[in-house]
Amino acid sequence: MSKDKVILGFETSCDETAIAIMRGEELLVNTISSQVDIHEKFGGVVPEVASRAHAEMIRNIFHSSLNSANLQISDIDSVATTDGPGLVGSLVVGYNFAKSIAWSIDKPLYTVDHMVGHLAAPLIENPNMEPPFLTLLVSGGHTQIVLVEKWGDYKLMGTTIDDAAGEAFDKLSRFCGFGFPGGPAIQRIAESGNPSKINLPRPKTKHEYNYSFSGLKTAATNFLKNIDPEDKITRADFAASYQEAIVDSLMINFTKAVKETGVKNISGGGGVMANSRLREKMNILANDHNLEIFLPSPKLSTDNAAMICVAAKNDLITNDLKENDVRLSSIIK
Amino acid sequence: MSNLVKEEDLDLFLDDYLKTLHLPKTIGLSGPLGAGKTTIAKKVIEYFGCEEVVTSPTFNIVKNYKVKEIDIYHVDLYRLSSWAEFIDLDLPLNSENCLIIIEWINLIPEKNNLNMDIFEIEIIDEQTRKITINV
Repeated sequence: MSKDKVILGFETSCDETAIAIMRGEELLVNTISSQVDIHEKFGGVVPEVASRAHAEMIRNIFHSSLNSANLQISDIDSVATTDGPGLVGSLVVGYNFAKSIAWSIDKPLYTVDHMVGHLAAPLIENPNMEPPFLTLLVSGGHTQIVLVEKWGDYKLMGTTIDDAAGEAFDKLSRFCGFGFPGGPAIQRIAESGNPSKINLPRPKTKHEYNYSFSGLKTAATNFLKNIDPEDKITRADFAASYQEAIVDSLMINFTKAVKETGVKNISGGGGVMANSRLREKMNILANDHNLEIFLPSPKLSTDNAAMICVAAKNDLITNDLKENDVRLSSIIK
Repeated sequence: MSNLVKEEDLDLFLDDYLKTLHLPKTIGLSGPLGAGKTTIAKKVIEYFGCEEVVTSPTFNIVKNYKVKEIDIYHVDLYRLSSWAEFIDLDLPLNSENCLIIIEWINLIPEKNNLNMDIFEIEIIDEQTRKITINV
């Protein structure tokens, strides 16, 4: 793909509708509209599985994105979209909208796996990042250690066998009434807490690189049920200890994988990679082992369409259009 | 039936239930956070021969596994808020060779409109659950 071409990207695998436009390596627009925004802008609740509401929103965001980039629809050279995995209702909207745009302007459509998008996200800010590298992808739906030997060659070294790390944050946060999404809420409360106040498990699995967060969640809720008021445990201590247990668990296996593979470059992605404690630990790991680290900034770690643009620009595409449908599982498995 | 089940006896307990089970079947799982709903769903899906890693469906709401001629849907209502949203999922309830396992079934008051077995799970202590199966 020529360097200064304009690419329009869609990412609607989850609760957010995201559109980005890049010209060459320049990110012109990166719009992310969450359901909270819909409430504010359009008034009324949008049920997550009602694709019609997402469809209405995507048109508005598309036009406002073109406007902010100061472009006409005819300036677009190609279109990219997530084709899975994610929520079916949401995926279908972005996928079909992208397909229609590409068709109407007679330009190519590229489809990108959502997890490959996260894996490629560092390229937005570091176009020169090159494999081999080891990446830690942590979100609400996935927790994966992936070895990228070369672009397009993904070796899944470890995965969660039950809950994803983001889910562990969200569920405990809802249980405790800390707020949603759970990651940012717990991080905020944890700021003034003591992360070693409460001894929570760092769950191990049979396979040394796999993760398990279900038991940690249960241990934390059990702890709360049997709490002794004499111990003077604060909300902040509890949040900090829980966050530390998740971050520690993530880092233990990832560090092992770094040593085992002997990679010199590491990276990360997914919503949980926006967590400041996890970023700090990733940077310490890089520093201790003299590794190059390519973390996308927090805004580009969470779901966004710019990562879909860069993945497509670098030919990291699925494009199994004969199936002509969205997928429920990632190509990384 | 209602049983106190220790963690190490869960497989036996489920085997007893599963060996008499006929498809199509819908199973609802009800119980608080950490009760073991995903654990039970995992074991049921693996009992039917699924070799994929069965992970929590909370985020995607529905996960689908195909094992030979059996079509398995692992569903989580944790993020849903209404019966209408449940209907929107368009699950193939009572379709031939279909096994549907639904976590957090207690979040949908209209669950009694559905023909299913419901596991009520209570946490007794860390290792023990009281499991009541309403068929």
